[in-house]
Amino acid sequence: MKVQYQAKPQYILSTFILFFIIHSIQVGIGIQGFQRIIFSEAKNDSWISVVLAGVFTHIVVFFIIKTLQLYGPTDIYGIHIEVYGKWIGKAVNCIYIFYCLGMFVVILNNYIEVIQTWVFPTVPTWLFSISILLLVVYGVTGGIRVIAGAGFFSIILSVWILSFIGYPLRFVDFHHLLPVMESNITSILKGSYKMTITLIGFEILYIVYPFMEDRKKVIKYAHLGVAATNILYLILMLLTLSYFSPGQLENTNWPTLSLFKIVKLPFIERTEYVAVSYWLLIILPNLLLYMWAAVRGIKRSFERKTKGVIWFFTIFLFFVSIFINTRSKINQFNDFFDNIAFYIAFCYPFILYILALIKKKMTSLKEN
Amino acid sequence: MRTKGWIWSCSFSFLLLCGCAQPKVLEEVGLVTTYGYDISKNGSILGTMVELTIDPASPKDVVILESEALSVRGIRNNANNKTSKRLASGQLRVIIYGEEILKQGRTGIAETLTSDPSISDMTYLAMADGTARDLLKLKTEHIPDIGNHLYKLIDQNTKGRVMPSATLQEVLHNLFSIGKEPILPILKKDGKGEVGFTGVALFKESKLVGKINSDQSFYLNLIIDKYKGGNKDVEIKSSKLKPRNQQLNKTVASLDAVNGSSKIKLINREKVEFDLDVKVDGRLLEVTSMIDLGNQENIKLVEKEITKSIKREIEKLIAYCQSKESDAMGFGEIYRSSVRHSNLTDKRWYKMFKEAKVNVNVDFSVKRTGLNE
Repeated sequence: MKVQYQAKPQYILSTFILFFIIHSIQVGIGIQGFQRIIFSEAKNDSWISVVLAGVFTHIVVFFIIKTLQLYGPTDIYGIHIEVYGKWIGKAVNCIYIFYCLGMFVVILNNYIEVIQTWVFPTVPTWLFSISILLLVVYGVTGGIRVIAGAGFFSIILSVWILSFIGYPLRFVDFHHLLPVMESNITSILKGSYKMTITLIGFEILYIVYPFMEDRKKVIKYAHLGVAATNILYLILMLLTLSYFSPGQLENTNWPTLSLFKIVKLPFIERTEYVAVSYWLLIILPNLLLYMWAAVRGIKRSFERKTKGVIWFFTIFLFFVSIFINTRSKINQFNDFFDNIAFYIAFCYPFILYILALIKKKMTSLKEN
Repeated sequence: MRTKGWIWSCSFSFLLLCGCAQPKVLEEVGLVTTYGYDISKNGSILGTMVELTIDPASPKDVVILESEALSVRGIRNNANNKTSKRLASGQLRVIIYGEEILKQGRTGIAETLTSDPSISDMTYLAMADGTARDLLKLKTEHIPDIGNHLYKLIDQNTKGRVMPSATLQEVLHNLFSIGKEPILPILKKDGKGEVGFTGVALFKESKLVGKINSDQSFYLNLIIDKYKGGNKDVEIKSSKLKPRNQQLNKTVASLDAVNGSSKIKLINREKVEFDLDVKVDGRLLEVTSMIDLGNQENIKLVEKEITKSIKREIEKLIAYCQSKESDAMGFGEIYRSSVRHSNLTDKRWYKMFKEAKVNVNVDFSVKRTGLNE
């Protein structure tokens, strides 16, 4: 297979779409309940953890783009083959594909858990799983342009949820944020580490990069996307910290959704039901993009037809998702992937960049 | 094209299956609008529910249900055995606690209720003077639906700043924060078959430890919240003002459109000393004394006297709270947020609060005196 990949003209995307892709894949399941997990480490300084994690994400994104720029139009699968050689490269690609599928399961199961807890306690997991998976199959067969469109509309159509922030503002007590820097630096860093599962998604850059129209502008839009996510998380964190008291926050599984519990509109009494159901639109781009990334991995490394691969993955994911059906199993799975995601999404880009740099130097030396 | 159509029809057929979720038809559901919790003789929870039935054929709109269970959820399930309609708590508006159950410190009921997603965090909580059961069983001509009546009563008075606001969110917020205790309004049924707001219940952790009357609740409101647009009669004790009412020998100044704000500052960390600055202004509409309000000096005098008496009342209130070790005003919160690494716990704060010194500074000004001078 070739290292470089020139996308066909009909699949090329405008670069500004990258902003929507990055933002929509980052915001998804983590946003519903990240506050509690971070609070358990960093206490009232949790917002500092959010800022630190956000800054770190910008650095990682910077290195991801640096790596990609070394090769021109290519994706991570091509880089792997180039850096590690044919066989090891393919093996590493497989790990990456499994990582994408794992993230898919994490998102799917967490969402099903949320919808079962809040709205439909009696509807079985398999029913949700199969309906969402079929939707994903439909989207992924449509190709990258359909998926990017889904990301764009998911953001545009869910902006209204932000307006609900005004309601909890009436009950905030900013004394909860004081005194600043009471937690020591280790617990703040631990809190940042716990942001992993909420922040990841930006590594999709590795795969959508060759589809961008103007690759010089990628830096700008990728960072804008990440910055939008960070600002959103920071606002939510500050709001949550000042709205809930510490004891309350420790007991709330999904603080973001609980914030909506007090929103009361004249025509609809319980807005969080709408929000929970509407969340499908927010997580759909995540599912589509991860599935698409995995399918692209197979296509690039093994040169298979995509249709069969999509169905194979769908059936596989369906069975995995119905086995992980209780809160404790979901938590175990989350924690497991939290660790993996930290190494793959946050640490690996640095290693890959160094390896790619060395490889590049060596080839240029050989040529001379 | 054919495969696409196949996928479409397949996904649509599954969407139809979503009808498998339990439907809740309005006619088949009994909406519980009010819960009352008491303690029974053997220590289990005695629940009283006001059920709103939607049935055009029935002459009565509300049914009062009672049941006993060991768990909070069990009450609803047991009550379900007695009704023709499935009980749903999505329309719950008010939760009333009996006095006994709060004395035993079982406020945790509220916490249990929030884990049910169908219950809104804006549900009002209140305490019944006596048992919740008696209060909910009240039925007179002008109160056909006690559940709705209580909701409207609490809602109106909370918005009008007569009662302190005690929604589920606020009570739990204060219950779980260190250095601030929750408060609940007290509702009392009097002999004539009327319900009224009579005071505020004070808590230490989750135990009921004291009560203040509705008059003092104004001052509590003034400290806790930004106060806007209420009325208040302030009693003045002064030799310079001669009361009109010779019999009672009391002078009262009636204030209207009262605005107030307060600020608590920690000024001494070791000895735990606070400055409490209260700023109040309002319209002076009536003074029950032979005094000419057209005179600027007299206004100054009244202002001074009102300031004094507000200060006295607030000091009395704080002293009472301190004697009960109930920090409803949130001094502990201020202490925790201004002292680094205080590692404050509830137990430690109770002791510190009891010995804390609070300097009350009141700044009162008369904005205007209505239409007449």
